[in-house]
Amino acid sequence: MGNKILVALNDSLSSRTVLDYIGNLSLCPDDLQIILLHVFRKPSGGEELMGKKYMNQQPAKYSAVLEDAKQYLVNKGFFPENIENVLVTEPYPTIAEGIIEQVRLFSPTMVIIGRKRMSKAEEFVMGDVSIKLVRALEGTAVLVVKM
Amino acid sequence: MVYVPERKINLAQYRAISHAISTYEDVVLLGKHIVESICRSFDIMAATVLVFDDREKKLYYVCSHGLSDEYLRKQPEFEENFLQEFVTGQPVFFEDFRNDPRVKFKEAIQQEGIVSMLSFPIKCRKNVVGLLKLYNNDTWMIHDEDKSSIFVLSEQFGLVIDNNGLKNFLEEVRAVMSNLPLRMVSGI
Repeated sequence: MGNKILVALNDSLSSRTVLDYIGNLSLCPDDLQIILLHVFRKPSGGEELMGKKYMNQQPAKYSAVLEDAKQYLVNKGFFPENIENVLVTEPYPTIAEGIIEQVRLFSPTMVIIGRKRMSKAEEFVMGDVSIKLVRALEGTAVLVVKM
Repeated sequence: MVYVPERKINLAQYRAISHAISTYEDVVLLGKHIVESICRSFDIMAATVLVFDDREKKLYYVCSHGLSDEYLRKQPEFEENFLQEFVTGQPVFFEDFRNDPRVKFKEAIQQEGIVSMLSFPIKCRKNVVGLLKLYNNDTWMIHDEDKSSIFVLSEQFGLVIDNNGLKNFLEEVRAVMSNLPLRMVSGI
């Protein structure tokens, strides 16, 4: 198989934009492996705030997000056997570090991530994972889909 | 007889939110969980967090619970920059949000089913750095003690927002510093 694309997703609007973008690209589905990745972070005080049941349901919620994404791409003509969902639950200090580690494991030819238009204040508060990936990743293309 | 609303935030809940504020590593996830837990505690329809850009003088969406994607694109809802919370530094209640003359997107508010809105300033020391907005599909009252609790928790959240921002900023500085030739960073 020629190309391997790793797509970093969550339940945000920008992730939906990423899927739309990929779905509308002219790609050769039989020559393409897609890894749909979500880096799940379990906050240490989460159970106390949201309850154990709620926190235990969260990985399943993001699995469903990945499954929906896979279904969307299958409907767009991609082959289900070429799409792998990866939900990472090991703790990482940041989302970017989690993605970088998975890129090392899977060695994709391209990483795709969404980025919403951000004001200075938003970037200050929330940071920008896409910039960290562009800086840190070597030997792979990084495609940032802006919404 | 004067109606006094029931208190919803007890010490255990206050402690849980306060502990979460000081321990969550991800500020957006923290915001998401705070708005969701407030909605559950008060049984209200939705809540959202917006941050204030003091260069652009605009509010930007961070996270929410219970609002449609379509509605989130309409925020903030006011004509120009009506931000009473910034002037007074106190919570502002809009009893009839749909028909408030200061509101710009009345149709969107009606479509979303919002009737009232209670807005808390998120402060970091003296500065208002954002807003926590609570929406309901009915007129409602909140106990004064609960209002004080949310107000104080919003202040704590404001500290986290600024602290997280500084951490992001320092990461940027570190990345840029690593591009400098060694001769220029020796001694720094």
